[in-house]
Amino acid sequence: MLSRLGLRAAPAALKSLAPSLSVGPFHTGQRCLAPLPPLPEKGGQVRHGLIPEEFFQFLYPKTGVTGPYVLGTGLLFYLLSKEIYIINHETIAGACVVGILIYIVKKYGGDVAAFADRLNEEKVAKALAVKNDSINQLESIIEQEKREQWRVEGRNYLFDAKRNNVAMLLETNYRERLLTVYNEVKKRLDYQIAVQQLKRRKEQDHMINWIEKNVIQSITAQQEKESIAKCISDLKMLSKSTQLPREERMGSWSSKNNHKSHPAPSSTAAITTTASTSSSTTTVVTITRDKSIFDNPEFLYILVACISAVLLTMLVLTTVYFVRKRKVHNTPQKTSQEQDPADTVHQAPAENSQVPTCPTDEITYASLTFKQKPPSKTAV
Amino acid sequence: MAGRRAALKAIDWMAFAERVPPNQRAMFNALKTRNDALSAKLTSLPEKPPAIDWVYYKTAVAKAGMVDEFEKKYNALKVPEPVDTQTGKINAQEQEAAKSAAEYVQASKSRIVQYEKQLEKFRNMIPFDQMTFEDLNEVFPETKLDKEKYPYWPHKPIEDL
Repeated sequence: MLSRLGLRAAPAALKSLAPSLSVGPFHTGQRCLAPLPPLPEKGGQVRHGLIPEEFFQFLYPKTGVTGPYVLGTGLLFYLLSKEIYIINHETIAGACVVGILIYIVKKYGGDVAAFADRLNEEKVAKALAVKNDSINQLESIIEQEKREQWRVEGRNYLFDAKRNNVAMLLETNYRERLLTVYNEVKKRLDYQIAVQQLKRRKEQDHMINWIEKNVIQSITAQQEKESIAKCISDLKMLSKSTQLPREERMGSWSSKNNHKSHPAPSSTAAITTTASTSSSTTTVVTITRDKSIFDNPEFLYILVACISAVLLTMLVLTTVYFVRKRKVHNTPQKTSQEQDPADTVHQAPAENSQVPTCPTDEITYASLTFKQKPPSKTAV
Repeated sequence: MAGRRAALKAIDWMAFAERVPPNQRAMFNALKTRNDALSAKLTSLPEKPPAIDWVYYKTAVAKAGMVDEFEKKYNALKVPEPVDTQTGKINAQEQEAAKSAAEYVQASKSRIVQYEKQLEKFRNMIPFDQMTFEDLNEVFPETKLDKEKYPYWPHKPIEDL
């Protein structure tokens, strides 16, 4: 690269320093514009860091492998023996310095090279990143442009939609018009019919009212009395017909029922008269209802009597029961008292029961203890 | 009737929606809602109004001749169709849009050509590690140092370093 740079830079530098001067016989031809070959991967080969490999290759055909080494050794001895090169202090100092230098280069040479390479790499990478970004940007822009073109193709939809809207508006408008025509005509016809019906109804109501008024006026007082009397007699007949079966069932209470039933017809007569005045049809709604067993006051007395009888019997029975229980309880107490302390062949229980004395009645401390026998108890 | 009805074209709203650019989305939504509202209104109205039962009215209405007169006039009535004023305008708009669209496409294509050229230049560039500064100045002209304006190193204002 340095050689190439030299090729390039020299004419440029010369030109910049002394633009008026002619360049001379060097580089008179046109600049080579073709892309130059890529840089070599490795530098020139050297042996022992100093002598290029080409020298060894040059001597190899004549002297073989050992040629250059023999030449070097001979040269060195010639210089030393003829004292062309004199060994003095500088020799030793130089040898030490050279030794140290070689040591340093061998140890840290790689790291330094890597560092320098990294610096260069970063620069190159930055430039590369810029280039890649530009490429991507351009590609995306091209993509977007193509997409916009595709979008533009869809403008037909818009106009179709607009035309559709317009057509729909027109259609709706037309239909609305038809509908309004229909509605108006129908409203007018219906109005006529409604008016007719209303008129008819009004006539009917008026006629009915007029007829009723006249009928009521035509009912004279005489007719009213006659109709009321007839209604009363009808009611009496009807009530009698319902009362007869009840009298057969309830013997002693029929008179009371008759008493009771009297106010009822009067009330129903009132109902019937009012019914007749309001309309010409009369119907007897209710006469009497059947008297049940619960309406009689005597029933209450009988109920009380029964309950009291039951209670009395219960009381008597309970007292008898308790009395008997008490009696039975007294006799077993005496037999147990005699058996425990004596532990003797006791008399028959009948004998003990014959003993009238009841020491248990007189509850004394002495009588309660089993050990002590009451003096009257020694039946043995 | 047939002429009116055939005007409604089926629109593929999904494809339409895809082609709408994001900055016009609001307008598109407004258009769509309007369209939907109109179509809903259209379907809600019956195509023809129900027929009036003239026989019933003849028997029901007492006035003589009224129903007949109504019937005659009703059948003779022609409801005018609404006049279409907008379709012409829409067609004109369409023509204009077609023209402007063609222009836009043209400009877009030329832009694409430019970008393609630049892309080619980048793609055919020699790699950076084989470049010299002169090669760099060819590819990126902005890197060329102006030696006339700034004769002394670094040949550009200190702020640009």
